[in-house]
This record gives sequence, C-alpha cells and structure tokens, in this order.
Amino acid sequence: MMATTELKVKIGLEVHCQLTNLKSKLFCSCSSDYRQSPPNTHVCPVCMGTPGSLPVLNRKAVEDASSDCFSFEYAD
Amino acid sequence: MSRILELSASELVSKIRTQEITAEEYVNKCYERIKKVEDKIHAFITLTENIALEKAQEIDSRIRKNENVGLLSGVVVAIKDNICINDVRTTCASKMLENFISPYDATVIERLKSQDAILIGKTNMDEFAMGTSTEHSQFGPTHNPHDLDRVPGGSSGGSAASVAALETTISLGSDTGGSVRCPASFCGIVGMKPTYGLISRYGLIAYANSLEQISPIARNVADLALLTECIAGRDSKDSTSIDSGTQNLKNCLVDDVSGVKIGVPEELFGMGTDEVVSKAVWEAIFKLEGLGATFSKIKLESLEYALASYYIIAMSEASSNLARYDGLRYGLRLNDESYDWSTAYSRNRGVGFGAEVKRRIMLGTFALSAGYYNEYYLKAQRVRTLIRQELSKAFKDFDLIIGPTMPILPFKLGEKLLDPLEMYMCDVDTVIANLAGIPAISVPCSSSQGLPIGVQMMAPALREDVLIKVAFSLEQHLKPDLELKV
Repeated sequence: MMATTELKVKIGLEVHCQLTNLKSKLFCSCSSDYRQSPPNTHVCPVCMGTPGSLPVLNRKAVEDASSDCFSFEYAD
Repeated sequence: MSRILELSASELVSKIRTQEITAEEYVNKCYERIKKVEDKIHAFITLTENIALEKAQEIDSRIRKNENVGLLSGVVVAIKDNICINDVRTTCASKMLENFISPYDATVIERLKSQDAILIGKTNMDEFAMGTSTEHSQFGPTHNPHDLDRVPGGSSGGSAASVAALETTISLGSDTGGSVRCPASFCGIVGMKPTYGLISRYGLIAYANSLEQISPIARNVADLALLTECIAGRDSKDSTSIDSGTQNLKNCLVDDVSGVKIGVPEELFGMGTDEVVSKAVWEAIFKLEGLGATFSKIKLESLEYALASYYIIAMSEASSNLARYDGLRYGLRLNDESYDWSTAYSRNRGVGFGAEVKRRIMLGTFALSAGYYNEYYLKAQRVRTLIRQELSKAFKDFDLIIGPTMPILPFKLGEKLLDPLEMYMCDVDTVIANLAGIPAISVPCSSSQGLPIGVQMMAPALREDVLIKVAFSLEQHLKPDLELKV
C-alpha cells in the first residue's frame, strides 16, 4: 500500500510601503519630487555618498510606515 | 626659537584680544616655522596659507573696531586630512582622493570657524586612518620631532608632530583605535578621544563609524579642554551625536585629585609592555597616590580579547565605508573606456588604495561574508558587549582606569613594516576605549633616552571632567625631560 504525505504550504508575503507623500528623501533633506526635474539636481553630499557625509533618517517615513504596519492587525 | 610659538591657546587669545600681538603676526610666525622644519618633519599634506592669512587679517580688523571675537580667535589649528574643509583638498593621504576638493565643511570646521580659529593646513596621516605610525601615508611618513629617525605614531601622526614641533597651536585628529592617543604619547603631548558621540563625525571621512571620534590634540591640558568645548555637542547632521550635559571643562583645571579612585588593570601591563614604560606609568600612579588619590590593582579578563574584537569590527566597517570609492562621483578615475564595469571598478581601486587599505577591505569583506559572519563579526560584537559590561562594572568602584597609552617606546621608521600583526599589537591598550565608547586621554609622564612615554586614563562615558582634572594635576607635577630635534 502507498503511504500518503500531507503537504504543508508556507506562503511568505513581502510587503513594501511606498511613501510617495514624503517631501524629502529617506536619508537627507533633498526634495523627493524627482518627476519633473533633470538628473542630479536634487542632490547633496549625503545622497551623493560624498566622503564624510552621514545619513539622517527621515522621521516621517518611520512614522508613516509604522502606522501602515499597525493598520494591518497582525494576529499572533 | 621665538617664544611666541610656545604660547598656549588661552595666552594667545588674550594677547591677540589686547592687540599685544596680531593674529597676522602669529600666523606668519607659524608659517615661517613650518617652512623651516617641514622638510625634516613632514607633518603637512596641504597648507592653507590664503585662508589662514585672510582669516587672521579679518580677526585683527574686527578687534581694532572693538567687535567681539570668538573663543579661539587667532589660535592656529592644523586639521587631519580626513576631515573635510570646504573648497580645500582633502586626501586621507590616499591616491584615491589625491585631488578631491571637499564641497562642504565638516561640522567641527564650522564650529572652529565660528570661534575664529585659523585653519593652517591639512596634516599627514596613515591612509584612510588605517595605521599606528603614519608610515602608510601615500605621500611619505611624518617624523617624530623628538627623534627624526622614529615614527610620530599614527594614524594622526601629522597632527601630533605639528603641535609638538611648534608648527601650530593645536590640532584635530581622529581616533578609531588609538589614532590620537598613540601619536600624542609618542610626540610627548596631550591627546584625548572623547566619549563616542560627543564630537560630531559629520565631515570625518569614515573608516569605522561605530568606533571613531574626531579628537583634540594640544601641548597642554587647558588648551585641550578649550578646544573640546568649542567643538563638542549635538549635531543634527550626525545621528550618533549627543549633548555633553553639564560638562564644564574649564572648571576642571584645578590641581586636586584627593579622593579619586583609580583602578589599575593588570591586563594593561601584560607581556609585550616595555619595562621602562611600565616603570614610568607606575611612577605616575604613585605620584597621584601621593597627591591624595587611591589605587587598586584589578583584573579585567575580557580585555584579553579587545584587540581581536577591535580589528574584526574595524575592518568590517571599513570594507563597507570604502565601497563608495568607485571613481564615478569623485576621486581617482583611471581612463578605462575599454573595460567592463567590474574590471574597471577593481582596477581603479587597486591603483587608488595602498596595501594596508586593501588588506583591511579584504579581511573585512571576508569577516562579513555568509558563512563567516557569525564566526567573526557577530562574535566580535558579542565580545565588545562583554568588554563594555566589564568596564561598566569596574567604574562602579573606580573613577578612572589607568595604564600605558602605548606598550612600547616610539619605534624606528621601517621597524614594524614586515608583519602587519606587529603593528596591530601596538594598539592593545588603546582600542579598549573605542570599543566601549568611553573617553580616554594620554598625558606625557616620562621619557627614556629622550623618547616620550605617555600614561593613559579612561573614564565612564561623558566624564571628560574627571580626565581633565587628573590630567591637569599630572601635568603640574610630572615634567618629562624632552627635547625637540628641530
């Protein structure tokens, strides 16, 4: 007789929050409104990765993404 | 030698304010001195004469008009060449950035400018701050002003040598694993790595972000305290920067160490420490005891692993921080139209970086790679936590931890270049403070055959006040026998 096995499926969902309402970039205060602008105009030492520059995290990005996450009521 | 060059920063500021001397006169004297000794010392990569004279003249003019001037007005500062000054060549002593003109000022530079300090030039260093002797500079080594055949220490060798050789009043270096305390010790002057976060790193060309701090160097503790206060404090451009709270370092310049409790870890006097160094540091400890402090020998077992932990973490962070040097936006770009991207990128970096830099990038990349990350990087970070915890515990019973800054006397140029490990081992006493994020100072305590010996003191985070107080006291009572060879 043939043994049967139960197959269990695990499905992972990678969810991205696209934060199009932010005025500045994720790590610097350059404008994120790139759509009508020529290349390399909304740049600064930070987003150009110039030696010595340091990123500063966009506070609103964290707040907005966090509230998006909380709005999906995750069951434990 | 003109006595004007030996003036301390505070003496200078007061003489310039009363117009007893002019800033322009002082700056010219510094450049005269530089021209006289530089072919023997080689502390500078770039001199900023135009900027310096312009600033000096501006200060003198404002003083004549009875206007206010800053806390460092007329004081001449040399800047390590990994700290960005707007419109000035910033090389990190590397061919990769040989012609890089920084498009902005580091925050510390903005603060120095606002206090009317005069920027005299960019100093020599080990390439990308990777080294302990300044021999890894791609523009030639710096020589120790107390013995021209010996190293000044590193990686901030130029910053320390220029202060010791009277080419500048004070200087800024950077300290990732001892790179300011080491040259301060080898050159017979004072250098202090602040608490991690106390001085903004915005504008410091990164080597290892979690370990490094821009650090002050001076000929005396009072100047060091003044410089620190002018540049310390929260900077919104550096998310790891913090405020100093209630530190008022000027008030710590009192000769009173009564009641200070000092811990002396036996691990800092381990195998590899020169007897003369050990003896000199113990003399400093007994001196402090004589002045009212108390000391106890302690055991800090985790310190045995500090050097290994440091190098794994530093090299890993370096591999990440130096990935940006691709020749696309700035820095060296070879004319490689015919190569594919991957080959062009590799060739460019192969030519731009020196051997030690390449070594650290490769080791760091390896330590972070899949299959090795847990064994090396993660383990090193765990060891780092153990070190922090053990020091924290020790600071419950002691105000200070003391030991040698360097385990050996300043060595001869070329002496430690055969085996990289021999050079790395010189950092054994200094990496501890970088791993734990605590402040540490090196003060000259003695000399052996004319070669300077420094004593190192470490305090809990944000307790620079304790370091300044005890360092000031030692300075009043210990006068090492040192002689400049220029």
